[in-house]
Amino acid sequence: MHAVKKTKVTSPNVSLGDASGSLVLLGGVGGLVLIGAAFAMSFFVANGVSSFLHVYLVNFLFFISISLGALFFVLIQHLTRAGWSVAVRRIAEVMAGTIPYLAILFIPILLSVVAPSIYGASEYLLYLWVNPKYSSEILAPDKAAYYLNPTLFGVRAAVYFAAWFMLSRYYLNRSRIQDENGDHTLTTRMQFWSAPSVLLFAITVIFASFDWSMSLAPIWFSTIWPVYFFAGGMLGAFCTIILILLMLQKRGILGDDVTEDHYHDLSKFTFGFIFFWSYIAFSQFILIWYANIPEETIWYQPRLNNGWRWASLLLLCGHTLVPFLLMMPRTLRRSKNYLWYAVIALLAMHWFDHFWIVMPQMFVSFNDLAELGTDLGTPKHIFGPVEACCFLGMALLYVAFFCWEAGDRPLIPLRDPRLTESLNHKVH
Amino acid sequence: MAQSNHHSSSEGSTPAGPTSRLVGILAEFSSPDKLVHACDQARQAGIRRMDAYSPFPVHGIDPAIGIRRTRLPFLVLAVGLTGLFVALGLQYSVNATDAVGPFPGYPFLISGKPLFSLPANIPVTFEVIVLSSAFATLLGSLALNGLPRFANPLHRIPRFKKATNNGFFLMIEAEDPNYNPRQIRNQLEQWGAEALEEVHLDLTDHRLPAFVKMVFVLLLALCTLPPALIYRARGDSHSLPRLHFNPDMDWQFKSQAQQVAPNIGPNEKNEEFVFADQRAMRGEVAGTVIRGQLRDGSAYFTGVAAPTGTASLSEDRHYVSTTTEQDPSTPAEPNWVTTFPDRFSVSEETMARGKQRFDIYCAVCHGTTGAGDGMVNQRAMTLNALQRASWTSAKSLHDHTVINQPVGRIFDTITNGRGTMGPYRSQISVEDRWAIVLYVKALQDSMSDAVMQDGDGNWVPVRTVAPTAVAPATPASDSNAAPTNSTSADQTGGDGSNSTGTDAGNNTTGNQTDASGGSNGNNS
Repeated sequence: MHAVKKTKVTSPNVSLGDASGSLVLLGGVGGLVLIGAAFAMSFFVANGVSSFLHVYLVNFLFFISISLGALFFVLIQHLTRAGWSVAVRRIAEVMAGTIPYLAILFIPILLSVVAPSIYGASEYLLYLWVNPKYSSEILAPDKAAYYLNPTLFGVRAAVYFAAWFMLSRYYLNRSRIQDENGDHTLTTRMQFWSAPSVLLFAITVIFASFDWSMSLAPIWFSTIWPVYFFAGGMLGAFCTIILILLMLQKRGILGDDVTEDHYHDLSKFTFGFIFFWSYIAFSQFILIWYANIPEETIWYQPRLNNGWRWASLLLLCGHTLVPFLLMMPRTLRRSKNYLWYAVIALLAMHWFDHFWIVMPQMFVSFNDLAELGTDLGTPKHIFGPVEACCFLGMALLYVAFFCWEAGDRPLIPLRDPRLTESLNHKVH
Repeated sequence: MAQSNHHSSSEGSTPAGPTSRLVGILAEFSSPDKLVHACDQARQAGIRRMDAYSPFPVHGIDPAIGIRRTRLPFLVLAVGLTGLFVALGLQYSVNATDAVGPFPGYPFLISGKPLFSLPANIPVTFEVIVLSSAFATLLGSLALNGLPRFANPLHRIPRFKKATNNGFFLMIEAEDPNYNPRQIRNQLEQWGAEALEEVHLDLTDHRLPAFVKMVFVLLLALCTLPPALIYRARGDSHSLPRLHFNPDMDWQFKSQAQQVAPNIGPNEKNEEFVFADQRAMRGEVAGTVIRGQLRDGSAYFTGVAAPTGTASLSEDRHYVSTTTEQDPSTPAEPNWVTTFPDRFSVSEETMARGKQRFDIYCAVCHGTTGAGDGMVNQRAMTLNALQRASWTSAKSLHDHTVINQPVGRIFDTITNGRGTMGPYRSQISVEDRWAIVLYVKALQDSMSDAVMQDGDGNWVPVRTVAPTAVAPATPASDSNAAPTNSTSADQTGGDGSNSTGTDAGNNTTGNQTDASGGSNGNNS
């Protein structure tokens, strides 16, 4: 029962090794080709570039929310001086380390906002408030235009990415330096900075979620929105950490050091955040539903009617009820074979959550502008090759980012002071 | 019970007399690892009935003493699901049905939501599930652990006190089939026990003292009283007034409005009141004005042009409109002001204010356009048609009789009410009343050429035109005006007097509406 405690990592492979190079190449080239293809194909579907940009935003939000969730996971482990998570923390650190690369993927979104104001195009691309006609007639009276204007949007995005770049780099680099010199004071420093880091993280994520997804509906607002965005992102991050660990262990990496007890704890968090997301989503819904004020229900109106009604019900069942029951049993949470299916299904639901947030807004926005006198037609399609290619491309790019960042360096903190505790972690 | 056991408790380690029973053997270990090791050995030796005690949770102890996974989650799940159905069922039967029974339904429509509507029911359902699950967890874990247990023979052993400090104990029960009284000591010593002690249960008297049972039964009986009383009082009626638990506050030693002043005379026959006029309520002292209630300039406060030299100090109404015939001494029609008083500034600002106030106070009956089609009016007219209400239709403000009214007259209508319309003196400030008058005037002007659909779907002018004095009212013209002004009881007296005061051309109309006003007066 009580064997000698492990004090060192014993897996033969703790890094991607040579595989990382080929994965970077495959992911990078494949991802760029597929996104390019999606962009090209979008010219042949209704609403052209606009529909591509919406799908692109869905995928961008999906991956940035996951990386942000991973960053928060790292911060909270240091804040609570957690021992159990050391063996899986590097995965999250590397995932958070992809944020600077995701900043590059933000450029098309930024262009969709900035370009019309430079070239004077009034066509609707992605954010309704970019249209000068809309912002002058609808937003100006509310003074929202002071916040929602292309210049400030870009400046704020730069601030967010700068903050996240700083945080993710700091924690990844310190952790890696510790791999080499085993200096315990590095852990102390990281713990010291974790509290202000969480504050900085919270403030930036709050406004990023306002800017990037809530402002799709410029006159609608929900103060719980950042929590909703964060909850989904955390869920996605836990699922992705589990998925990456499963993939690595399938290739014989970290085989001895990450045990089902680690999976069990990660799954517990997943379970918790399934319900946290549901709680927040429902809190947002019930208040708006009950008060029944047009300026608030306007956001749910397109999502609860016609075909999107079924999408909302799918989200209710697939993101809440079914996973809540299927992630509850202890035996399932400890089963790697089961977790493969569970986390992939949950990630699909998290992606669909963002799809559900962004896509109906395209229809509404087109109609809103049409009412102002610019009839831009009505979008027709829902899911097609553009969506598929865009998602696959972005996923491949994310793989490439992760592998580039991981390289052939260890995927486990080799000399963290709490490594022994984590290696011998048992869930009772 | 504790007292009766006391005499033998200090002798826990001595061989027990015939009044005690061997419960098991307690072994002490020096470290948690040794405890876990011993538990492992005991389990491998086939012993199942044992328990380990340590000051803190020891990792690995559960599998070592062979504790199976608890059945509690299934119990909690079952109770939680029960909570789900109970909560949903209760809300359904109470909100959405009017079934009678233990929970009689009370369907109540709230802001147009369906009677049974899942989103609204989820918070309650959620709370019920959480609450019932929490109870199931607590009570279930108590029940599955055989708790509460008021005494344990282990607590009679002094050594066992270390279990909360630095002692690690293993207790093996004598009832275990593999418990061998001769071998067990050797076995435990082999497994690393440092001290051994037999545990005995005192059998001399472990019954509850009789008085405890009595008290318990009594308490139970008392517990049934409140529900019994509530049941008896259910749906009961009483001839006596209800109990006053706080009579000092219910009946205070003070005079209230409309009461007779207190009698301070020597007896009932020789009454002597505090105030000579016997009234407890005092009027204003002549020549004074209540702070903040000065009403100077009667036109601003009454809408009536004041005769020179007098100023009304009160905005109380002149009872004029409907009582002219009964009280011939009252002047037929006050001298309404026809322009806005100086203290009221006609501006964009007051117009906006008037619109806002109008939409709050007036539009519910008169409609936002003033056509007399407010929501309250519409619903009441529907009920009228079903003969479930007798409602006097709200006046269309575009009726020619209203259009011809001077502003002072409209102000007076708002202030004091007219016919079945109640006074708004206490709800709307003077300034706001004038603002509403301003807005009404603007509404009337804006609708001078507008048309609307009447009840039959015909397009008719919003503004009704007064029939000329020469042409008698024909049935055709009468029906034309019907949707807007046929039931204007509130205009009866006003029109009659109006015709004398301001508009001589209205005589015919005045007579017509007098006739219809008679019947409506009965309604109100």
